[in-house]
Amino acid sequence: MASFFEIDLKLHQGSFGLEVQARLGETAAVLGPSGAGKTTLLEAIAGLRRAEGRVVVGGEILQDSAAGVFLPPERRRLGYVPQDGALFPHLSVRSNLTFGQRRPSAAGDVDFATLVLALDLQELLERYPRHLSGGERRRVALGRALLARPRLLLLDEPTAGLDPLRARKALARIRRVRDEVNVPLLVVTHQPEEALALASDVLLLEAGGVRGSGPARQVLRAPSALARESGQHQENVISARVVRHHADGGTTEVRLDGGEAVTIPHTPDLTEGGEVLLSIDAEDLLLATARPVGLSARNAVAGSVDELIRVGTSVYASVGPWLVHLTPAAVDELGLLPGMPVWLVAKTHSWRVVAG
Amino acid sequence: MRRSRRADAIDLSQIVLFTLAVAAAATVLILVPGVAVAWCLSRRGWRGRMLVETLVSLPLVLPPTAVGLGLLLLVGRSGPVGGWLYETFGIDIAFTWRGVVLASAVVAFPLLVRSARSAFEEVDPRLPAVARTLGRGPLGAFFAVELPLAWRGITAGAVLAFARALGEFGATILVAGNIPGQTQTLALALFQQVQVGRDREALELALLAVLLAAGSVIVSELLVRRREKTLAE
Amino acid sequence: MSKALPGLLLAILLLATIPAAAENLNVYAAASLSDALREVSQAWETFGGAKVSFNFAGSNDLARQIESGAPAQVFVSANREQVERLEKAGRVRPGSAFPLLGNALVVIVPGGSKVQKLTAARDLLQLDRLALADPAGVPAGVYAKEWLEREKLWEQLSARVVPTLDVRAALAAVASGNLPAGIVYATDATSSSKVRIVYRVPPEAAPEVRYFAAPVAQKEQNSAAARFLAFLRGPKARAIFVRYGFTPIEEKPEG
Repeated sequence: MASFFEIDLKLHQGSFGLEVQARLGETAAVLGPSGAGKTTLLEAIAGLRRAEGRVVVGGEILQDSAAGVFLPPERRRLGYVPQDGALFPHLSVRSNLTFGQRRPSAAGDVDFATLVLALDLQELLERYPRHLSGGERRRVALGRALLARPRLLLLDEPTAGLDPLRARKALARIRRVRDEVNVPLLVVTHQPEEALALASDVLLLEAGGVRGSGPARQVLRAPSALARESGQHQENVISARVVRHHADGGTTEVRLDGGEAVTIPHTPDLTEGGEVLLSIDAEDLLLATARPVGLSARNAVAGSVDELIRVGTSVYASVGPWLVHLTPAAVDELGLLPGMPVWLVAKTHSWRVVAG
Repeated sequence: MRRSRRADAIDLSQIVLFTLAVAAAATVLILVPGVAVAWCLSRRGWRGRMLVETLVSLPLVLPPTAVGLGLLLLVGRSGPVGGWLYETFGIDIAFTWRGVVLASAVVAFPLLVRSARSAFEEVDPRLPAVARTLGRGPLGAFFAVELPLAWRGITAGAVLAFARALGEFGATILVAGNIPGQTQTLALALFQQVQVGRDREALELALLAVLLAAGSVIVSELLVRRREKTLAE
Repeated sequence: MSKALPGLLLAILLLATIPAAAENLNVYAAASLSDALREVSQAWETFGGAKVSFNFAGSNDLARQIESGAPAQVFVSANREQVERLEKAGRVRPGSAFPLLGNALVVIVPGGSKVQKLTAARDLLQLDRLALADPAGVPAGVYAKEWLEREKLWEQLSARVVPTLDVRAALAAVASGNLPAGIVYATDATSSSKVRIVYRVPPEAAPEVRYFAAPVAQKEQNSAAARFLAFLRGPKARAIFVRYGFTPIEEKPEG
């Protein structure tokens, strides 16, 4: 089956070279440090930069240098949302939003009123970009891209410069939009959590070249990836649903996708029953060979060891969807072996809300 | 502005109206090409950019008389362009009002281009790029985004060009001559009155010139302020 | 040593100009006299006379400059009007001016023009533009306008007139082909190979063209000026003027 994204691009600009070959699914993230060429790649896909090669999106050939095909940006129908929005300063929010709308509107177009409600833009419609906050601008930029009925959204660092609270609200919003409007997504980011939150496939980009591409977990958990990131924290990102808030206890109770009950720090702005995306570092998880008692940790989840990955002086244990960072000494002491049943233990405060 | 009806009395209202009309015509003439050239110069890295930059700046730096001479050689009846126009259409440019408009247009052109170019350079390049992704073609993106954002600089350049055209002398007198009632602008009329020794008339014309100049400065200020007001809302 | 060089050069230049300024004779003369007077002044200088500096322009323009205090020592005007103007302004002593030369008016066209010889003044009407030294003040233009008024042609032709700064500028405009015709002095027409004479204004039809010369009153009376003016009336200068096409006037200085 053909992939949604087929990218085969080469670009040289001065001393910078970009060479990317990848097949990715409908929700994909380009992950890499700054200077890796992520924005350049995005611009090339959008047709704003001329690169050599082939780009096929959803079966449509956007460009094919060998065949002499190059669709100009206005024909590619890609919703490009640059960093911090790039709203038109001389137009009101309303005019910005409707800028790309096709006239006459066709079936399948996002309804203006619905979108305004969904992105909470009612109050802002007659204002001008210079009077909006960074977060508000991003919402308008997202709305503007969606109203143009794109065949996919290209997001450049959607949470750059946002504080953690606004960042997770933004990610939650993007996930909702992705799911409700059903629009494919290509996100550029340097944060693995963000990639995991928004996409199922990941392309690792470094210095203009591809280091790995494929399903997110697979790519990020490959031993080579782990080896490169030694010293960095490895995140575990998992979906959950909010059950109940316990203000006195200082906790919020959630139920993970797998059914396990977990307590996270009290986060009153989350709606009970609402969906949330959590993250915990591999470094913050503990392994126990028996169910723990007498610990302050509120969270214990059962599982079994799938794989032990040795990377340098570290060992990563893969327990179902979880990655746990251990010392070789601990592994030897516990006599850990693949297949062994284990308990994962985490402190309440180790959990972070990524989107919600 | 009635004067004693001497046969050689100067018609002040005709001179002023002619001067204003010619300056306006020159400004209108250079508006579209000036904005186009300014936009091209605001893009980087194309071959010949330096050459175009130099050519456009020439009328600014050269003595106006040198500009006038060049134009005369070109559009005079014995020149390549002027000769062809006269042979084919019977149209004269040199020593007619068309010559005045041409001379003013050429010397005012670099002023418009400079101002407009800065204005285009200040536009965030991501904005027209985003407009493209939202479905506008290159021209559509230009008109919807770049032009409105550069408008203030363009207008300022146009007013500057108009003011320059109002006072233009050196190139005009060579290309169009100082023909009363036909090519005589305020500046040229002033010169002639001095030449023939009519100092009082010359002074009157000089005062009128001051009024016109002040008037255009005030108009440009008002334009700038109105734009500032709408932007600040 | 090289640092002192520019300063040294400047000093030498300054020194060089000072004696020249004291000896120089400033002659302001009508534009139509430029070739002839230059040759005359060369003869004058080989004769031992002071170095002459010329300022050639329309006589009205020169008169204006002298009125404003320009350092002219000799003034040669193409008509009497400009000399009278300076007499009124106190720059020329009444009675010191004298008529020097006569000239004639001609109609010229560019060398490549298809226009044939005009048989009468009326034929001027076939020309759509006419270069004239500014008839509002420059003598050549004033003479031409007077002639056309006498021929009753001025009304129709005035709109076709392109006024130039002086008669040489009118000549140049026609010589370059930028204007199809002009009225200049006969002496101007012969000085350029790029124009053709198509009509000589008969002396009885035209106003009399008379050049007047006079010393200009300065703070320090310049004896060289008087001697130069005498030279202008002398045989050597007369021969040169005749060669250029001027008609010397053998009148006594006006008393």
